[in-house]
Amino acid sequence: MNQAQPPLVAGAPPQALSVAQGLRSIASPARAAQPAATGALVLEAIGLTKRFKNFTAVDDLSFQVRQGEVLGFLGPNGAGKSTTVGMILGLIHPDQGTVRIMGTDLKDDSSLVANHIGAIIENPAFYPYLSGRDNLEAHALAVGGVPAGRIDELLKLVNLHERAGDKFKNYSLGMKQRLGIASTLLTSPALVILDEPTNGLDPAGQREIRDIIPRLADEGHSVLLASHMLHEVEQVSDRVAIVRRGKLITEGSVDDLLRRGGYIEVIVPGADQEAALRAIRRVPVVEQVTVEQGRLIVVAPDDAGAAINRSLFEQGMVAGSITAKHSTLEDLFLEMTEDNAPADPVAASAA
Amino acid sequence: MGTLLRSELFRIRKRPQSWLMLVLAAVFVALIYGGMTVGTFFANAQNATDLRETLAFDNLRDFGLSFNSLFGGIMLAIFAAGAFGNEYSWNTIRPLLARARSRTSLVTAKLVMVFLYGLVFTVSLAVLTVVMSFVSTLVANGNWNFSGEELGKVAAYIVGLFVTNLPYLALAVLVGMWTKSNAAGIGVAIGISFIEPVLFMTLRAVNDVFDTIEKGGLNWNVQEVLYRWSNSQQNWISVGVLLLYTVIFVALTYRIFLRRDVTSG
Repeated sequence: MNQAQPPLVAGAPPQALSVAQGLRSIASPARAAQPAATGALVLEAIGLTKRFKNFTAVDDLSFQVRQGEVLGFLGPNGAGKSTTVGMILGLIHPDQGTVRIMGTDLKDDSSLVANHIGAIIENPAFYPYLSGRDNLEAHALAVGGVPAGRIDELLKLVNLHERAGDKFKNYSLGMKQRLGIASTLLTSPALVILDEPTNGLDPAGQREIRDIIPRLADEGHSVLLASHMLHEVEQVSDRVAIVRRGKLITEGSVDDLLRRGGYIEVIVPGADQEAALRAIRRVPVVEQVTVEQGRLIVVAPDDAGAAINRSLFEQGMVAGSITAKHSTLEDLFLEMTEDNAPADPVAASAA
Repeated sequence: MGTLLRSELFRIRKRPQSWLMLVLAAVFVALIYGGMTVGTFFANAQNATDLRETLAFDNLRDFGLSFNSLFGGIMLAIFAAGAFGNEYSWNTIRPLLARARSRTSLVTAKLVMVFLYGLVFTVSLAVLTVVMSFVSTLVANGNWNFSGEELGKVAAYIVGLFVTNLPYLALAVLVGMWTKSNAAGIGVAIGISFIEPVLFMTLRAVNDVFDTIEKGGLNWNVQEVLYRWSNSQQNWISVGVLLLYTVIFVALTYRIFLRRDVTSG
């Protein structure tokens, strides 16, 4: 089914989904597989460092966001995510490092954030005495250049048009989140930064937000999504950057990261485990084999199962089961951010 | 900065407090003049005469407009402290800063709106007080009983009211921003206006040198502009001192906010 979706953002041409993308996006909330983003750099964080009194919140952090991609920005509490977002938005002065937006250093042009970024910082905050519509109007006046009718369009998009006249202080948490999403899109920004956008929403509301995020990217806008909802990040992100104690631990496409944590489980009933180990090690693509509670855990590409089975058979053993197992992002996240993970993960991975 | 000014103006117009303060001050003035006017009809002869003299137009600067100075000053300190204080308490300072072209333009827009509101508030309340005085004088005394020269002095006093409010407005903005608290901004601005004269009165009794030091303070120069105005050199020096305090407080506001890491609010 080819079905053009109406653009979320005025000025962006509607993108027709391919049949595969359309079916996949309907079948599961996961974002349709996208080729690696090769568009222009929208955001570059280069060597960002920030120290507060006696601790370093962000330590030589570098990452990029390209046009049209969704970057999931993950880390445990206190990892430095909010501080990093603060430096990107010009709220916090980095001690070292550079933020480039659309190729220009933020230090050279402080209007870059207003012109190119829409952001929700932690919980969406608006003026309690103004209505939803008036809050958007106030924000639109502050940034300037918002076309007529844009506010009504956004209120309809986030399903707040019927409550637009109510005071913000009377909004539910879900309504506040939705108004926050609307405010980030006022200027059709190149980059949307969302910090915990589904916080407090019911499942329907969470799904609505998850559906909006990939649509933004499909229309050529980039999204930096900071969230603790790992399954949600896994579904909508093209790439993920994981930080811990202010440092970047790992960065890569979701698929690549999940493949890294995957393994093949082999059960060879009744066989000598050591012999089975040796047989499996003979397969060239096998990186590592260990024995764990009667199972052989094999680190190898998913398609190595046939080769493993053949090698066992050649050594007179018959595999009872050979199953490719994949990590979830949660598994990977917890493994990389637990307390006894390497103190300097970049150095450890390079060794 | 123009876009930020438009946004500030929009929000001030839409905020009930902006209008409520003006209405409250107007009601206060109306009650005082109205009550005293009615009183002239029920008081004994001597008290009625005293009331009529108090209500008279040529007593406006010492009576009605001095209330403006006190009451209006408190109202304006509340407004000014909220310029940044409210943004922190509502957690809107970070989104606002992310939308501003620069921190300088944000601070400038805030200060311009505070001073503009201060001007509108001062002039509106003063005009109302003048009108109430006219009406009270007419009702209580049976005639207008004022001169063009007096009207000119009242106009000069109103300008003086605005000028003498400026440093307190700037101080309230500075403290509200620095402490991220409305209450602190209000407390410091109002506190200094009340405590300073009492403090110097006490200190003068200890040592005459404080007589001289007091002339560098806020209160002495406010009194000089409002109550001892004769277009003398000292009067203009006092205007200069008050404007200098204003500039210092404004400069500190810029310096602190431009360098600050905004991690909350």
